[in-house]
Amino acid sequence: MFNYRMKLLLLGFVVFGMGLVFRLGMVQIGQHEQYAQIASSTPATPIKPIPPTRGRILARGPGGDGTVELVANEPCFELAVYYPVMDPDKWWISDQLRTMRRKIRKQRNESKLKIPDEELLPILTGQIEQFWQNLGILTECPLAQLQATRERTTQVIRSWVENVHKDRETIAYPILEQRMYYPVVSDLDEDQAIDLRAQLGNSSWVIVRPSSRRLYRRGDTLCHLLGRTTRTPGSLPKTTKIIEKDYLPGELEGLSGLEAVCEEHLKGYRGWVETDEDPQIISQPEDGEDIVLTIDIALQEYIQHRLKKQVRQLPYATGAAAVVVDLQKWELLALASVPTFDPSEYVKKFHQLSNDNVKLPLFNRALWGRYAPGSIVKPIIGAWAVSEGTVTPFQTFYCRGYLSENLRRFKCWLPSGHHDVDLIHAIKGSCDIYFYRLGELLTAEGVSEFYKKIGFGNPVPIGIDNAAGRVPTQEWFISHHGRGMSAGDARNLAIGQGDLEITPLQAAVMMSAVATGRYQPPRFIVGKPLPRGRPIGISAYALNLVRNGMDKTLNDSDGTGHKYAFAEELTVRAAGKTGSAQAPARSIQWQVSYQDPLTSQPVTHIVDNLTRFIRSSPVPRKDLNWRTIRSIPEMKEEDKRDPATGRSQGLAHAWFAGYAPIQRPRIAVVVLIEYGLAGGKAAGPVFHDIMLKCQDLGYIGDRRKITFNNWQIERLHEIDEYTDE
Amino acid sequence: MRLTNTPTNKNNTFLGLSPASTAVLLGTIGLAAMSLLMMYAIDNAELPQSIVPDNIFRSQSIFMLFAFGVMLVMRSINYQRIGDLAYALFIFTLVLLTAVLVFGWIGQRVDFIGKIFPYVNGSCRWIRLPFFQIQPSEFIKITYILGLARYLRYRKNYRQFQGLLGPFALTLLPMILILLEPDLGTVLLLLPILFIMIYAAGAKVRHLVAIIVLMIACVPVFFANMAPYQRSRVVGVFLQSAEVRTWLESHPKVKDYVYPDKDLKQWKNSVEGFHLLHAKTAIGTGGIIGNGYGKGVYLEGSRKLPECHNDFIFAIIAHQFGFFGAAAVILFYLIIATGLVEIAGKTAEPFGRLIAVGILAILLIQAGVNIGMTLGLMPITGLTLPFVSYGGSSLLTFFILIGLALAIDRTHPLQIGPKPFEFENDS
Repeated sequence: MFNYRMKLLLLGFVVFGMGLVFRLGMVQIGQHEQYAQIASSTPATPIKPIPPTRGRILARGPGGDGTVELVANEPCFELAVYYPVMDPDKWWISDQLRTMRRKIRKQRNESKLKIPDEELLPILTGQIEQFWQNLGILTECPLAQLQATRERTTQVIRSWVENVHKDRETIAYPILEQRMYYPVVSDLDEDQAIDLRAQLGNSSWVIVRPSSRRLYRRGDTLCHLLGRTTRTPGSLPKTTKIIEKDYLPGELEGLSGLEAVCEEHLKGYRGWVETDEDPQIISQPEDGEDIVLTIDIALQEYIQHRLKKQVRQLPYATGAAAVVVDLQKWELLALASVPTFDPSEYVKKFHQLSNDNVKLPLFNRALWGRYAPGSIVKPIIGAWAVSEGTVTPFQTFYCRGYLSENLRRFKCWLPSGHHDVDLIHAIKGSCDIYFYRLGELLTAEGVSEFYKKIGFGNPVPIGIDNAAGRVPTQEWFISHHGRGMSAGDARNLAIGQGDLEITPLQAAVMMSAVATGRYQPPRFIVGKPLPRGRPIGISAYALNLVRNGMDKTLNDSDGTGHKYAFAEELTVRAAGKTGSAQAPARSIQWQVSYQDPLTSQPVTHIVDNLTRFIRSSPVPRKDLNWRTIRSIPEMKEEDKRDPATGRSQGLAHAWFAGYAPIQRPRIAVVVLIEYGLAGGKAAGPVFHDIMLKCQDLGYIGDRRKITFNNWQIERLHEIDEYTDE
Repeated sequence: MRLTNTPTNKNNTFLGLSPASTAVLLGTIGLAAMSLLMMYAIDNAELPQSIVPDNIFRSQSIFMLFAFGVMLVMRSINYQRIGDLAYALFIFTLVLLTAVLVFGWIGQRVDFIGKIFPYVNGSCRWIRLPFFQIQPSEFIKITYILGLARYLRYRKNYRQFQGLLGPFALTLLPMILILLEPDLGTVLLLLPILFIMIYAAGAKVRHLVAIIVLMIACVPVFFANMAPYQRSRVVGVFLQSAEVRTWLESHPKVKDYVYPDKDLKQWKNSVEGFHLLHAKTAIGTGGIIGNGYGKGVYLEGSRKLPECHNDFIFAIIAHQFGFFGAAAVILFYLIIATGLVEIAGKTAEPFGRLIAVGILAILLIQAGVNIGMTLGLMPITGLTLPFVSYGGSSLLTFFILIGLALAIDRTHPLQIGPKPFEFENDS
């Protein structure tokens, strides 16, 4: 039996051998032509990436028609260096040495000449260093900068190599990323690129290749929100996943603002192409998706321009912001903040822009500016009090210009007083005394809890970072003032003063809540799901009361907003509320003194940026003493008294918030002028103009004037006015 | 004292060798000569160092001479004496394997131990001694065959199912140790050897069928526990076809399981894909008569085939010598196989003939797997082509095994009575 089984076994092996021979014949004879073709066409050099085109950022056209480019791409060139020249590996060195040896043998005509590696290696190292020196001279780029790029790239690629080899059995050859070109000088213009190409000649160590950069089509429109891209140093490996989803050194990556928030959409995926004479595309790049913002370009540009004009006209204004929300689709139509800057010159002028602490041009006031809201919170507080049953709509309080004989420091803005006021008239006349009383009844904790409920004290979840603002609570008071909240704090909170701080965006969300009865953060990217909203829990009856009050504010001839914000041309009725929030001047220069820890001598500094100084100061924060020596705006003596009424006035932020139409609200508008002093006078005209523009664009009323076509023509006429800064 | 007979009819012998030994030796020498020819050609081709190390012809010649000497020594030894040591040797290699694992683990943390037990390319399988280094997982091939043959001498050890548990225990221990290194190729080699040896020993067919069914049932478990790179190698065999790749791309769930973390579009540039494509291209461009010695795009031109001196040497042979040259290599193995079958058949003593069967199995399976891998029929496992691939450990192992076979052929124990170990009525 053994022999029988052995014969079977041998037969099995012979059949197996025949099978292999058959397969061999198949490959060598049957498919010979096919493989011969592959051998003559497959690349000896590996594949290279094709960068995808980054998605554009678009805004909607006037009235929501079509789209307009905000950020697009423009072609440029970059100078890229072969990776082994940055970080020579043993394989590349060995190949280089072999080539050098052959060359020397040919020169000396001795085919068997022996040249040890130790002789050639210093020559190669010298060549590499010389190459970097020359590169520095050619590109007029400081050598230190080139070396920094080189080191960063090396670091990233090395970590990739380590990661790839972590669970491999053999490290027999370099990985693909070690045989690619990485940019060291980016954003070259065509002229520069042509010059460089001519000078670099036919070197395989460096290439000048096309690339692209961001182009800001509409100047400073929405400049704060767009954000910035950067050439990344490359990303470190997070998983063993091959680089498809990560960054190669020198690729564009969104760094801030929308570019960062929408990075996943904008980026796209790179493709791959072979690098021989007949390059075949292995995979096509997938271009990034375009992002369409809900912003109406005509409205946004108009508001920015209008705000700039207003800030120029007012004596103390340092900046302004405005937010317009579409209440039917819940979309942001405009989000303006002035002063602005030109994003295409951001890098060039960065120091100038970031050190301008008078105008703060880089500061996005609409999202990050925290201001006391002042009287614009009165309608919603009143509605809540009625809804909760704290007061009846017809209950009146008596306003004599101040709260009571004992509490003279709680004044109304109108020294002569409003006399008997109910809720509607208190809103119409913006009576402080009425709301002081409401605050007393509601208690400070109740008011601050209500503010939390309508979204103050938390960032608005619109998908892009914004400030939380501040709603003072009992704990906050104890930790900051060393005492609990008193009735006085309740009064202040009820008129939107005290330690309350909100952003213009939060104000717009609040105004939408008054108009519709819902707390609903708007979206600002077309197609994104709407953030979750909720009813604010105020009865429709109470809301209608305060809407009536806001209507009278704007449309009655003795309303606080009538004089500056009432628009006769408007075909629909709008409602609004003024607000003048007292604010301290902003310190821009400090004198800091402390004891030097080494010499115990007192030291004094004049400091422009206190936060930065504290962060880098040699002594802990508690040992520093500082006082403001300069703050803006500085009020002139003659302005401390209102020339018309003779009342004394201090610095205040001017607010104007409203919506239109009163029936079926369509848009909510909030305007803020930093240090605009009086709400109606400073912010009212802007509100008026925005309302008219919205009517022209067809958002309210039925008299649409501006369409996509005539907007562009109109813009051509206005172009001088737009660029007058 | 053992009674042995001496070769009887010297008239039929060549240099004192029986025809079977002559066949084995001829095949071996033919393959060794092919190996040296290849090393010389690759050395002269001036391939970049990323593909092959320098001076491989010289080192391979030295290895070859040494291994040949060892083979002659093995031939002169009485193999039955080794038989007495079979278990001891097996346990000794197991200890070495364990040491490699344990000290390799310590060596990653303690420097001077790490110099002796280096952690190379993600696995610890070497013991580095002054002047040379050894790889216990190579020598386990010898001692495993010896141990198994020793065990299967007795009928009760292969005729009963309980008896068959022994060989499996004997296989499982080294398998686990090598799996931990990890060295997948050697692990997968042990099972077919076991199977062929118990088959040849005379195990019942229904037992064998039961074992095969069990083994097939274990495949999914085994596959699930493989490292991603090992998994992608196994799957790589099927990914050669563009249809399979497109099918997988439309079934992402299956793709994520069998080929995780990688892009199918990039398959040609993955390690497996690159190897398989270029190995097949090198073979395919050979055609019927080949490009000629030292010629062809993979030696002279810009094409590169990594590991062409080692795992993929068959591709380079086929590239230079074409279909006939490559078929000749397969023929050499079959000649050795015939010789070994003859040796096994002539030896009535069960230990000796089972060793011969074991040698036959390991040689042919390893050669078959290597050639199959080069032709794109089997997963890339890192198994070398016996006698041809570059590398001392592999050469030494196979020359020792051939030496053992020759020793068995030389020493037939004296046979008392006709065929004492055969049971013709078994089935």
